[in-house]
Amino acid sequence: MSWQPTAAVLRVSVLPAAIALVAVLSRRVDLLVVAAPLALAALSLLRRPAGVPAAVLEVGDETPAEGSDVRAVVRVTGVAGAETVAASVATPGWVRPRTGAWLGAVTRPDADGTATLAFDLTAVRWGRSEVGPAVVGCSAAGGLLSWGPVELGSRRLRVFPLSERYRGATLVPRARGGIGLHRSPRPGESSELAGIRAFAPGDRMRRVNWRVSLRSGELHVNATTSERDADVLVLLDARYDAGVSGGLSGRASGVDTAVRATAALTAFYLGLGDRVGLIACSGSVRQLPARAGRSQLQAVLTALLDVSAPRLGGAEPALPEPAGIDPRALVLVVSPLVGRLVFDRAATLGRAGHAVVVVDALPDDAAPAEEGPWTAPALRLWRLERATRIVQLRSLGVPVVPWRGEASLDQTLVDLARAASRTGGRR
Amino acid sequence: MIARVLIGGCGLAALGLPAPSLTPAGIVLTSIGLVALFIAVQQPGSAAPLVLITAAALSWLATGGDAGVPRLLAFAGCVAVLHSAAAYAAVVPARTPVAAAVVRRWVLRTAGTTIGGVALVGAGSLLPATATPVTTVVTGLVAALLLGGWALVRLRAPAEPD
Repeated sequence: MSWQPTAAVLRVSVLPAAIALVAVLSRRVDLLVVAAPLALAALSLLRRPAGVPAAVLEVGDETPAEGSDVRAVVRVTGVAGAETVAASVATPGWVRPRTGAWLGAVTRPDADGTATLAFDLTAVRWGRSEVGPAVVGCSAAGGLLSWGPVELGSRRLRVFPLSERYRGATLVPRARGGIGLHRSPRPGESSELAGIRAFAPGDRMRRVNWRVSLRSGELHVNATTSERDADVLVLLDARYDAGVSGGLSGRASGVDTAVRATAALTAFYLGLGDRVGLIACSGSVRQLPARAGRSQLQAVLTALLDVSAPRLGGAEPALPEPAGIDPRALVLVVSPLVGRLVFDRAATLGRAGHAVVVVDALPDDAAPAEEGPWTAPALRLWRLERATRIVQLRSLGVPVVPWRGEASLDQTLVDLARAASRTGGRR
Repeated sequence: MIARVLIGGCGLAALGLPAPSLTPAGIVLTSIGLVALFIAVQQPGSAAPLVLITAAALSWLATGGDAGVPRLLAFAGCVAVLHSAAAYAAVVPARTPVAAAVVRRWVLRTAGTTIGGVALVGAGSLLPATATPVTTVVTGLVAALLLGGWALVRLRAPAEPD
């Protein structure tokens, strides 16, 4: 595409010429006063842009974390001699400006014949989002020449649900091996200080705490715990959603909270050096075997991008039984606890001897998007039934912990670890 | 947005300043002008501003001959601003923040062409009358140049790259 004359060219060429002709024929000098400014505007055509513009839409980070800032940039080259460069960018997804949903700007090109229009966006919610398409247009010679509008294709972004960083107890009920990063409740040879005790035969000299020994007059040693590593399986139940998703600054739906909790817990345990596996049940079942490392974090986060509760009527969709779980694995069932089968599945896993923790991801203010006259009593009944099921699950020895972010699972994991140490790692 | 408001304001002024009479011709010209004004505000990149200015100029030709110099200058200014605002609004999306440098340049250009054009005609009218009026000759030359320029623009537009 090249520079094209606009409709305004007729107004500064043919129109003043015609008015001047009429002025001469009718001997009306006053008409020349009307025609002259229009005719003078045509002089802008003497400075025509030489180059052919080209534009591209770029996005700074195509895999941002939820809540982070993203900069979309429209770069236009070959606009030396142009007067305006206008661009607008559509933001149909969850990556959008902080205010409004439409972006546009008009600027002048730089001296080197390039123009850069930057738009600051925020990744408001996890998932796959698009930025664009962008529409770019340029003008020159006082609006007598134009280039565009040209549509630039949209860019796809993957927004990872890593808005909150989880920190909590590193305890696991039953560790898998004798080396790792977890603090075990058992005494051992790690660097994790558990306390100070009196010297006993067999203690190594390097463990003697000389300051305490000199003060007390008796030999004391530093007592440490052993370290373990563990398998963690996250069973994400996103078959049903509850509430409305409004992005980070708005309300969160059940699936929103569940996905954020899954991402936070996965990042936490992988950061500790554990192996983490994922079974995500939404429209389809996505299963990732337990592995360690950053690549596993990327795999889990990518799998979470496609999680969304399907709109299904009729019977409750099946929740597949996880197969081949390590008997010593910590199983985290992350769910808004909307259906019934998730309670049955958690109870089954608990009865089978797994260390199971159910993470309740239903927000307190979750309510249906559409409300009718029976919504409030039906919601109250459903919440009562749900609370009863939670009590039943707890009575079976399966803890149900509401997700509150940082340290949500600490007390539960301490209790489970104590119970496991009492039973010698077996239930 | 301001450009579109200017189109509306200057368009109405350009249609009203000639003080059109209640003759059929005056009514038709004003009606055509109002319709063109409505379209020009919506689509400044269309031919509607051209139709609007043409209707206003014809209306002035019909009834504005006896108007004083201030009304003539106001009319010429309105037409020039109307053209400039329409050219600006056609290339800048509505409700888009515009860099101050862009607006400043546009305002200066409009003011320059308007004052320059009026001054040119004013200077021409100050010249002594002769058997061949200078204004007429200048007008003819300008008209020929403009028509030639228009033809050049259309013919020598850069070829589209393959």
